[in-house]
Amino acid sequence: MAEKIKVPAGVYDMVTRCMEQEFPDNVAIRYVAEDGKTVVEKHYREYARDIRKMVTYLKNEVPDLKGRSVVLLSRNCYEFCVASYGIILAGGVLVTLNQKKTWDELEYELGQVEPALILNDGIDYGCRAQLEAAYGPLLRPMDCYKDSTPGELTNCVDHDGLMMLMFTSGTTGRSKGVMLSERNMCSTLVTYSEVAENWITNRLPAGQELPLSHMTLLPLFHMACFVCVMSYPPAGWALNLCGDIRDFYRDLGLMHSDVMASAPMLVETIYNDYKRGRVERLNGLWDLCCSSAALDPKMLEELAANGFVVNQCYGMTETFGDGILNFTQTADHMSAVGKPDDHCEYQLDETGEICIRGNSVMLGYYKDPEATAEVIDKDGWFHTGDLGRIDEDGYYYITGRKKNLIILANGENVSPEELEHKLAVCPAVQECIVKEKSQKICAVVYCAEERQAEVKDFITECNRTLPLYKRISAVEFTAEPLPRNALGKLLRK
Amino acid sequence: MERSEIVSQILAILEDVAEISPEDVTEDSVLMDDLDLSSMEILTVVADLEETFGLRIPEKELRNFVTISDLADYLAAHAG
Repeated sequence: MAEKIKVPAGVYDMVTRCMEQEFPDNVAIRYVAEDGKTVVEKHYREYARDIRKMVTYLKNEVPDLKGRSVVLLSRNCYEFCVASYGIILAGGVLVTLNQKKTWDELEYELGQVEPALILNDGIDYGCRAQLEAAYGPLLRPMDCYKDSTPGELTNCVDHDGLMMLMFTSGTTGRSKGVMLSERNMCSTLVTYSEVAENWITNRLPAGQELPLSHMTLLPLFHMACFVCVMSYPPAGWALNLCGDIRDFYRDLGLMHSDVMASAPMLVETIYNDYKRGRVERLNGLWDLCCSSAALDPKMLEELAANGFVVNQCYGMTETFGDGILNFTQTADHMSAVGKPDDHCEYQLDETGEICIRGNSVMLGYYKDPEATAEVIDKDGWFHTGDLGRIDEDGYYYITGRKKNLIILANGENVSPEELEHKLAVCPAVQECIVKEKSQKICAVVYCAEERQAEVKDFITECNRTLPLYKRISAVEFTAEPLPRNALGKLLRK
Repeated sequence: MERSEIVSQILAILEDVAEISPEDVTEDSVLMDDLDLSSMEILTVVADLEETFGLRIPEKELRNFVTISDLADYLAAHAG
């Protein structure tokens, strides 16, 4: 049905061929203007011109940009996409950070990458003053390029060099910078082009025509959504951007969207709308690309039986979002994460851990060869940290997690140790562990019975300092010391 | 607007967004814990409140909303 998507050779090819030659008149990006009513459309021709402007701007601002970091600290917006291409094609290293993190975390990550510039949206997410005090001279607005002249592009990207850094939760508290190359990106684009051709395009609802549009609500700094910035231009499809979850239904209502990359919490929201007869507010949304954490198979079956197409993706930042995909729409394999394709190799190691080898596997963790050696073995296998099993039909299922990390329904990864350190500050807490319970963050606290109220108040106050996704939403008390293993380490199960 | 009216509005929106009966909610109810709301639901509630009260709450205020009372305090101070 669809024409074969020509997977680009790299970022340069994406701009000069896909955007400028193949699809200049297609809509690339849509968003709702400041007035909350008008939909702005940017076509690939203008998008590419703005990317060229950004390249000119960056080269003028930072003449020795080659190999240096330029950080994006912003909610989803058109300029985020322009900058993503512009930074790479100006020779810089693209770094996307979560603008809603606490200053302690941002300060650490910014310190790691030593940015040449920080492009940011100017919104105060709680630590604007610290950001300005520490990095004021390096801050630039997202549309800093607008008065620059569109410049010549050269293919300056080293296919196997460091192209971008994205941070992921570390298991021992601090986050880790994932180093990704253009080769990693291209490998993933092969997979996603097949998804577009074979699965989405062949299941178009009656009356729906190509090109399709994607509701981009998940944050662009996160791989689950960033991958769309790179995978939509080769098909000439459009991204509909939503910059704030609060505007989700408004934006969906104003911009018909076919596909949406969705964390489980978002799928549940859509499911609730369907259950409560509020499908009209979804404005024709029909394809949910689910990733980030496991979903209830019964819910997916019901959605699939009622006009939705459900794609499940098991991928991670360390593989540029590539991984195992599940396109089944029926009950038999709905609880699997899917079946590996032949773009990468997959296996379970002797401990049952899912391992991936191939072109999409990251270069390593930034400035952390030890952590890299822990996950990429001498034969090049990347150890995902997830335990799995394979059924007789070749489908993979997640059975547990080897690494100490909480993965929540909103797709965020949270380090239990980081929260445990915060709780340990409370004088009433004698011991605690933080774990996942029914997809929420739960603290198990050993303390004197008469001091439980004190601990609860402490947690409520502690939550005020944390982003929504990191909040401890349940507390269990125990009057006994927490169980430990033979080495004296707290047991988490 | 009277504080009691603001609280009733919050309860009505909570019932609409998350099907929580107003009888099960007090001003001290913690949104994520007692009411078991997801961050998506909290922001949907906030969006509906913003529309009702005709205001836009700055980003950095959002993390202060832990209990129903926090929401009511903010609206009482800022809604016209």
